[in-house]
Amino acid sequence: MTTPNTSPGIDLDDTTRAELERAGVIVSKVDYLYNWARGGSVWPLTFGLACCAIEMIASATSRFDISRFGSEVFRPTPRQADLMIVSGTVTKKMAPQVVRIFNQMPEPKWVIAMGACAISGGPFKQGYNVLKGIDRYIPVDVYLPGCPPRPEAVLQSLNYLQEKIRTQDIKSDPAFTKGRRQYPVPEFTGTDLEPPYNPEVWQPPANPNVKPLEEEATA
Amino acid sequence: MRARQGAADPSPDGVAEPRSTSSKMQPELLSTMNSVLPQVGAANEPHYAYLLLAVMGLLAVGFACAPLVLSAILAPKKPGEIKESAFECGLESKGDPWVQFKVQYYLYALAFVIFDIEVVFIYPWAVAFTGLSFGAFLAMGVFILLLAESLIYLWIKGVLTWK
Repeated sequence: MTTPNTSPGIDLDDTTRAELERAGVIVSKVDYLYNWARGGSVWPLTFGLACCAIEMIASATSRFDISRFGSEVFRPTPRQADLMIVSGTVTKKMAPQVVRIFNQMPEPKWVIAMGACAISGGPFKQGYNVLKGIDRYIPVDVYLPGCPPRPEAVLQSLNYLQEKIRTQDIKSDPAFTKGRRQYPVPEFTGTDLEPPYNPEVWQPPANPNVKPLEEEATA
Repeated sequence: MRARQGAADPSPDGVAEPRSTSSKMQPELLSTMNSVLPQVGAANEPHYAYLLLAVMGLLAVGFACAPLVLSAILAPKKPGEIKESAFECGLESKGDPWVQFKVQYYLYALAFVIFDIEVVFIYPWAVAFTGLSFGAFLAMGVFILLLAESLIYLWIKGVLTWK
């Protein structure tokens, strides 16, 4: 077992570390242990929205076997889950429920936006009742493209998420620091969502046809 | 095998007859215990079986309690009004969950349970039907008749109509 030398507090060169390990001493950070344990037991929420959910379910079957990565425990309640796989088209009617469930999950929590629809609206982007990406309301950790992505891709996105978890810093990550994180639940007015996006999480991309003000001033 | 029998009645034969107890123990279990307790070297003494049981029990309780204690210490706590609200598949809960049921529901459920249990009795009777005596047929006939009678009584009393 070799531990990554990512610690700012413990400055050990690799030879010292190797010597210590040969003597049976492993120098590590609490973060490493904490993140290693968390990354190895990510519990997804039993939560499917559309056809992508079928691929998500298939990733838990014996052929693909998500339990190899410690995530076979799909929890039917958000209180016990720390990963939300937004699998499928998020309609405007469904979006408030998705955000509310995400709020009900305990910290630290992560989101995988699975499939083209959850990322951007996908083939239904022009639909009158389709949310153009769940990242407008909740922070997405891994974007998993595909229409739908295969179960192997679900496993790979989980691996990417585990990599991300391993680099989390307990002291500075907002999931661990004091202070509440709550994402406002949008209201479905019958035709649209109010507000259209959460400005803390997402900003509309700049219009390439409109020059920024300071550029015009210098030109 | 032996340990389980002894667990219900630990003191008399367990302590008084160690030789006979050890001879009845499964040989694999004995060898495992001897390897677990080499320095004691007395695994054929029967009370060590209880010691191992006690250790296993402690480990089981510890294993169940450790995640609760650890999560209470380690988990970041971030309560909020949305998080503390009831989980109803993402929808906002409407109304009071502590509603009172009609007392009629109780009668309805009771009648259902009676006929549910009746089926439990009828199934083995029906399977063994060809081998049973006339007396058994008569007894089951009386049983079914009694329940059918009570059903008619419930019907007349109007329990089966939901008001």
